[in-house]
Amino acid sequence: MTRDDAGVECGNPVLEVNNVVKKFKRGPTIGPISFTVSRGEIFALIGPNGAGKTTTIRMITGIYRPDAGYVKVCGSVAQRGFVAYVPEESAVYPRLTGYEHLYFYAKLYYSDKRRVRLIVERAASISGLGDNLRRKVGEYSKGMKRRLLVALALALDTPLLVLDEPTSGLDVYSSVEVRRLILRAARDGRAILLTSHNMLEVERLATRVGFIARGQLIDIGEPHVLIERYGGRDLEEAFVNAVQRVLGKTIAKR
Amino acid sequence: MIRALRASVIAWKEILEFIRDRRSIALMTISAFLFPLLGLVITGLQTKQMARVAIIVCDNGSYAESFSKKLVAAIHSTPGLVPVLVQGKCSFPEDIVAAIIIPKGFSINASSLDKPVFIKFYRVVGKASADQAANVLNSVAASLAQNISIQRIKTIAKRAGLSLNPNYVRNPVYLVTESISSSGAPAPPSLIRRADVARFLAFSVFFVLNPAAIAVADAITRERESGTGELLAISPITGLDLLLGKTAGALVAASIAGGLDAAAVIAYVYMVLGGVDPGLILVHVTGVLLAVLVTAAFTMFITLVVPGQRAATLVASLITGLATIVFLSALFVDYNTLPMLVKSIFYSIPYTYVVLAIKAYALQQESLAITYLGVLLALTIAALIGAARAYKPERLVKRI
Repeated sequence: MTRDDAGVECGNPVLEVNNVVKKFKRGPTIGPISFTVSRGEIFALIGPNGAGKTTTIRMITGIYRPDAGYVKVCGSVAQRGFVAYVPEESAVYPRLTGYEHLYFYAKLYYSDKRRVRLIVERAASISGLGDNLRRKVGEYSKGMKRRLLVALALALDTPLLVLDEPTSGLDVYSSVEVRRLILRAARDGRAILLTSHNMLEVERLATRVGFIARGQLIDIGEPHVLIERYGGRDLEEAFVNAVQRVLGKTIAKR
Repeated sequence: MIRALRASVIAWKEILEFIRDRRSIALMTISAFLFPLLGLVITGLQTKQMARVAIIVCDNGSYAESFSKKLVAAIHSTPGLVPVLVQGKCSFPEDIVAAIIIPKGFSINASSLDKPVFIKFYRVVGKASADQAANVLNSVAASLAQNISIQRIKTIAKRAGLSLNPNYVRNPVYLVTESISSSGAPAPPSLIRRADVARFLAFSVFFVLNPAAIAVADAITRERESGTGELLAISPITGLDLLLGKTAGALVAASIAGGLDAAAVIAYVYMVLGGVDPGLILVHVTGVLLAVLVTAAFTMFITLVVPGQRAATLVASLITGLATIVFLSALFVDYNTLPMLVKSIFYSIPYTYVVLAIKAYALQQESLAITYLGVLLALTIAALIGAARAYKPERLVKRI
C-alpha cells in the first residue's frame, strides 16, 4: 500500500521508540532505548562513532527488527512508507539523472501520477539544482548529491524525516540552505530525527537532543538544559561530561 | 496492481542503468562475436599466409611428372600455401616451410610390380603451415598409391589369367555408414546438418552468458554496496516487488545477450554452413534469455542469503565455471548416455537444459525442447520464490 492509498492520520507522537534492544552475534548490544519525537519537533541523536546511532536509525526505519521493545510511527509498527531518510553516504545511482532519481523514489512511495509530479517538482525546487537535474548523478559533486537526497526526503512529505549527517560534505552556503529547509519542514509539522557530528548545527536546529554512547541513551533534553545539567560552554563539552559521568558509573557497576 | 507498478518502477530503473552501462554492453557484444570472430580470423589469417612449399623433381619419368603436376595443383588450391616447382637440379630453394622430393628412380619403381616408391618430405621445425603441406602430400600420395597398386594388381591378374576387381583386392572390407534418427528412421542430410549446427549453437551460449551473468549477478550487492539498498529497504516496496523488478530489468540484459548471440551465430553459420533454421535460432535465443534469467534469480537468492561483495564475485565465478563445463561438454558429450550419478549432477545445473532444448529441437523433438525450456523457467521461478523468502530489509544494507 502506498502512502496516498493508506490515508493514515498521523497523531502525536509521530515516532515512539519504546525500550528497543538490538543484539548482534558479534558486537555490542544496543539499547534499551526509549524516546519520542512529535510533530514539528527536531530531535538530534548525538554520539561518537559506534555509539549505536545507525542501529537505532535502522530500527526506526524498519531495516532492523528490534529483539525487544517496539518502534511505532504514526501509531503503527509498520514504518514502511511513513519515513523518509537521508543516509550518511551519498547513496545514488550514478547512471541516472537527477530527475530520474526523483521520479524513481516518488513512484516507489506514491502511485498517483499527479502526486508523483508534484513531489518531483517540489524536490527539484528544494534542491536548487536547476538544469543540473538533467545531468547524470555520477557527474555531481558530493554536495550536489547530498542536496538531491535531502530535497527528495523533504519533498516526499512523510510524517517522519530521518536525516543522518544531513550537511556532511556540504559547503557553507549549501549547509545553511539545508538547515533552513529542515527548519521549514519542522514548521510544516513534520517530525525530524537527525544525527550530526556538528554540535553547533545541533544546537541551532534541535528542539531536543539525545546523548547516545556505547549503545545506551544517556540522557535526553533541550540543548540548553543538557548544557546546564552536565556543565560546559556548549553542547560538545556537555556531551563529553555526560559520557564521562554516566558511562563511568555504568562501567564501574559492571 | 500496486505490486506490478512498483516492480515496473524498479525494472525501469534497472533498464536505464543497464542500457547506460556501455562497458558491460561492449563486453557482451565482443563476447558474443568472439567465437565466430576467432574462427573467421584464424581462417582469414591462414589464407593470407604465403608459405612456400618446394616440389623438387629429381626424376625425369612420366610418373614423376604426373605426380609433381598433381602436387603443384593441390598445394596451389590450399589457402596460404604457395608451390615452388624445382626441376632439373635436386637442391632446396630459399625461404620454404617444407620440401617434397621426388627422387631419382621414382617412375621406374612406380611402374614396376614390387619395388617401393619413395617420396621424401622435409619440414621446417615449428612451422604450422608445414603441417598443412604434409596433409596435402598425404592426400595426393594416397591417390598415387591407389593408382599404382591397382595397376600392379591388374598386371598380376593378367599374367595369371584371372578376372578380378582390383578395388576389392585392395580394400576387401568396406564400412557402410548410415545416419538414423532416434526413432530409427533414416536421417536426411538436413537433419544431420541441424544436429551439427545445434552442437555449435549450444556451445556458443557460453560466450554471451558470462558477461550477461556478471552484469546481473551483482543486482543486490550493487544496491548494498552503494548504499541505495538502504533507501529501497525503507521504501514501501516489498521483497517480491524488488525481486520481480530486478528480474524484469535483467530481461533486458538477457534480451540484448540473446539478440547479440543470435546475430553472431546467424552470421557465422551463414558464412560457414550457408543457412540455419529460424526455429532453431528462436529456441537458442529463448535458451539464452532463460539462462540469463535463471542466473539473475539464483545470484539474487545467493547474495541475499550470503551478504557481501565477495559472495557476488564468488557466485559469478561459480557460474562461469559451471557454464564452461556445461557448454563446452555440449560439443562432445551426450548427457543421456552418462552414468546416473554424473547425469544427475549435470541435470541439477540449469544450463544443461539450454543445451538439451537446443539439441532436442534440432532433432525435431519439439515438445521435448519445450519441456526442457519449461524446466528452466520453473527453476527460475523457484529461485525467485526462494529469493523473495530470503529477503529481509537488513540484507539490503551494509553491515555496520
